[in-house]
Amino acid sequence: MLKMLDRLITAIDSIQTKNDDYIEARYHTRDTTSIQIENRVVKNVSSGITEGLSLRALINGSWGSMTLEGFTLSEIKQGFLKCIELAKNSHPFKKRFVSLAEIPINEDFVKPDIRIPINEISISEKIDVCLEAEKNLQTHNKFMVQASANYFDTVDQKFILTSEGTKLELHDQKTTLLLSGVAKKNGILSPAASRMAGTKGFEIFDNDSSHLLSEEVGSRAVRLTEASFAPSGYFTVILGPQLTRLLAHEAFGHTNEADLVSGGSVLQGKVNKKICNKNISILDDAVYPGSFGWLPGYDDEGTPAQKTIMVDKGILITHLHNRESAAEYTTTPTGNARAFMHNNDPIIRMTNSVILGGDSSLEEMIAETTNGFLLEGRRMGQADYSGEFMFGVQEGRQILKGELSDKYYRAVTISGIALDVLSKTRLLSEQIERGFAGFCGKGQTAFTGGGGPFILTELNVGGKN
Amino acid sequence: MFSIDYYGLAERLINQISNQGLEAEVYFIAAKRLQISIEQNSIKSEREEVTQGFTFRVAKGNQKGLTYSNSTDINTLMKTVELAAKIAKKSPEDPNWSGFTLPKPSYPVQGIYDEEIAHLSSETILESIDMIIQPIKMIEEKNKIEISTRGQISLTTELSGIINTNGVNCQEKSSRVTLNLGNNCRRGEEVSGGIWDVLTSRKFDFIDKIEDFSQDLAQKAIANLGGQKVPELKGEILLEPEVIAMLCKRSLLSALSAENIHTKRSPFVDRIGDQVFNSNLTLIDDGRLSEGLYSSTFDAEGFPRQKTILASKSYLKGFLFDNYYSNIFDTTNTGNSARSGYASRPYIAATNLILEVDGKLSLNESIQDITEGAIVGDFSGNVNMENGEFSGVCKNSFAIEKGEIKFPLRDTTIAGNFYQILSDAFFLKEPKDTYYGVRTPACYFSYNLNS
Repeated sequence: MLKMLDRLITAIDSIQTKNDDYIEARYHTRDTTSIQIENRVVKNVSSGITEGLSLRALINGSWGSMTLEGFTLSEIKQGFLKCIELAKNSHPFKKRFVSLAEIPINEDFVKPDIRIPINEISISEKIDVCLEAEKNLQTHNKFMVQASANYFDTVDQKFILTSEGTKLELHDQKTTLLLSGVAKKNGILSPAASRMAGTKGFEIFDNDSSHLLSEEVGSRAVRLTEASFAPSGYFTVILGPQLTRLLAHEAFGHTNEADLVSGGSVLQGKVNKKICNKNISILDDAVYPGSFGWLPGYDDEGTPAQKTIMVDKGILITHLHNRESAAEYTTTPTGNARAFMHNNDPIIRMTNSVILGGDSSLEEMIAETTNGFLLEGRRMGQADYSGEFMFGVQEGRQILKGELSDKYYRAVTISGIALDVLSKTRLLSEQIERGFAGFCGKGQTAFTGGGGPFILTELNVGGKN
Repeated sequence: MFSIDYYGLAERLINQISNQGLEAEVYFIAAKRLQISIEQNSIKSEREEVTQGFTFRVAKGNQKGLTYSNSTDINTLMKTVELAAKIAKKSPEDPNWSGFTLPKPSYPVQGIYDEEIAHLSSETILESIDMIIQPIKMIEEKNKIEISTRGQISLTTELSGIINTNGVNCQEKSSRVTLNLGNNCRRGEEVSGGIWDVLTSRKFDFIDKIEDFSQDLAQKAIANLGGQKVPELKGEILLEPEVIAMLCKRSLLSALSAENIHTKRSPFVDRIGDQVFNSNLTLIDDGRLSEGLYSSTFDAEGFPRQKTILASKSYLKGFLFDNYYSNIFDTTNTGNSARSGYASRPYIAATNLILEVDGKLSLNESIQDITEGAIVGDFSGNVNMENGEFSGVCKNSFAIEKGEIKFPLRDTTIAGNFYQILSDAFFLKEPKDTYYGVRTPACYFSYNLNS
């Protein structure tokens, strides 16, 4: 019996297509382990493998696609013919037709640089690491009333083949641990959480990292039992690197995905124009080693992964593109077509969103602030086409007359318009922190990452008081 | 509907495991879906898929393991089962574990499967897309404005089943049609922000509503242009049913889950019998609601679904249980186990939530009564299950002055306590079945940020 790769090649070669027609196969296996521990009890240990084939056909500018979970040569050929039929079916009903921007045709094999592969670690070892991290959090302080550890790892293998001749074998591996805890003092329940994640194997737990994570979560949860609700109003704030990443991803980044730009986002018609303060430069960086948003050399259409400068010194340089949008905008694809599972079509997604550093320091920013807040730790974030955003912040600390006070705030909400906030950003720290992780949702999940500096800006703070 | 005998495979696997003297459960789900995507006011793509998967839970005493696979090859599945047994043997004991669900008779719930969905031609669906696009074109031309629509219509038929070594064995078909639509509107440099809505049903019975639905959504997108920032919301705030439904899903229903009662994260711990809500309010979780979006004959562990009174006329009456937590609390299982697919472990979730209130006023009547305030149609922000606090930005929301809707709100924050609102608010009449699976009318309350 032919191997999967050979079956795909044979099937693609057997399909008759006209000049501009295109067919594509993406075979994807994902091996996942997940562990949930809560209050010393191992609630769940699971392991699973999914395997599937996503087929697409672009016929006369019309897409048809399908998912297969059976992989004989005959099933694959029939699958391609079905895609062609679907594409032809919907053609008469379409108002807009698609073409694809050219990309270099590559044959390649890519693996991430992993020191301790996750599939060489036994389930018992993984459970032990999680139990220890959860125990460290539970016993961090007598005020901790609840602790949980959520671990998962994924090992991916993909073949991407196209009628143009692209032939790729791509491997990827992600590992993540989320620690959550609740402290209770004087009747006040205070939650805190933090995550470590990356394109890494078990080396992610080197250097006592899970212990440091439990310290961070435990101390924040306990500290915030004595925190107040923040006052509401428009304030000067310093956003920590995790929130800076959220600003780059959620509030700015989505409005710069070309499909959403075409859908009428605030960045429509803004390429090569000044959109914010000249001290702002923003990257989408798919090639940063070890990061959670790292791509294995190529996106899911076979376009090489790259570091894309989206904003350079306040000027919008490019949107993020797949092949379809790049053709529409007469530009080059940026390698941002991503599909989370075998049953997802690739769509435009970010990878690692990064705001570059400036020439200031956190101390200088604090000194510049008469009445404001230092805000750190994300809870959740949402934004829309206009760049209007709302983020939940875990912890705020008051700054008065250029000095950090001992007054802490919990469950702070911040909101604003991304381009306004980026225009009002006066200072950025020289030092930036990367390595944050996100699970972006846009109809399907994407592993994303990035980071940035501390930034001094102005926005709405919505507390309870 | 499906060419593979999933139930037969599950039966063979469970027999193999029970021969090894282990306790086990096999869950399977198969779905056939046709999805047509819309982007920039045109069909983008047409996609067909059949997805399937098996989940195995194996227990050895108090140790347990879970594995899953989307293969249908019996040898691969046997290996996956064996891996679950191996994980169970290596896992620490769970002192709260007391076995899989025991069999209990159930009778079929009505209106959750429509045979026609599996046989609808894609042409019928493709033709219905024009009912979305045409009204938008007309509104664009009339208002000299750009509207961009994206979304998808999907038709899904599903088969799911559970067999365990205690004798539970059940399978059921269901269907769903969903039209998910988002409109974004531009006038020059101004962008409306995006208005979303969903039409969903167990059968394709909303074809006659599509045109009006698309037209309303486009009108809403236009109405949201020209938004003004209000530094501080004041007066009476009307929450539309979708906002109440979303707040219920993101806070109240988690707080009423036995898991959060057990971990003491819920503020409703030790409150059974207490008056916790508005004196009119009765809360019902109805897993057997005819044609309900979250109805089924049995839950994700094979226990019969039921109607559970969570609160009656303001008094807290009960919580949501699955098999695991009903054993911990030594109480009756309410059949609220759920899974988000074959890769998911079972967890507690509400089914169809019904807020029964004896409202007197309609939405229009209550708007006319408001001198100063706002109507909130959507909300983007944090909601805290532990205490009901929420804060965020008003979306698709409008200021009300002297009984009239005046202007859209932009960059305007709202904060409050949802549990307090459920206690203090006045609920209106005319409940709406929201796409969240929550049936509720709108409500209004006096807004004081500092309260």
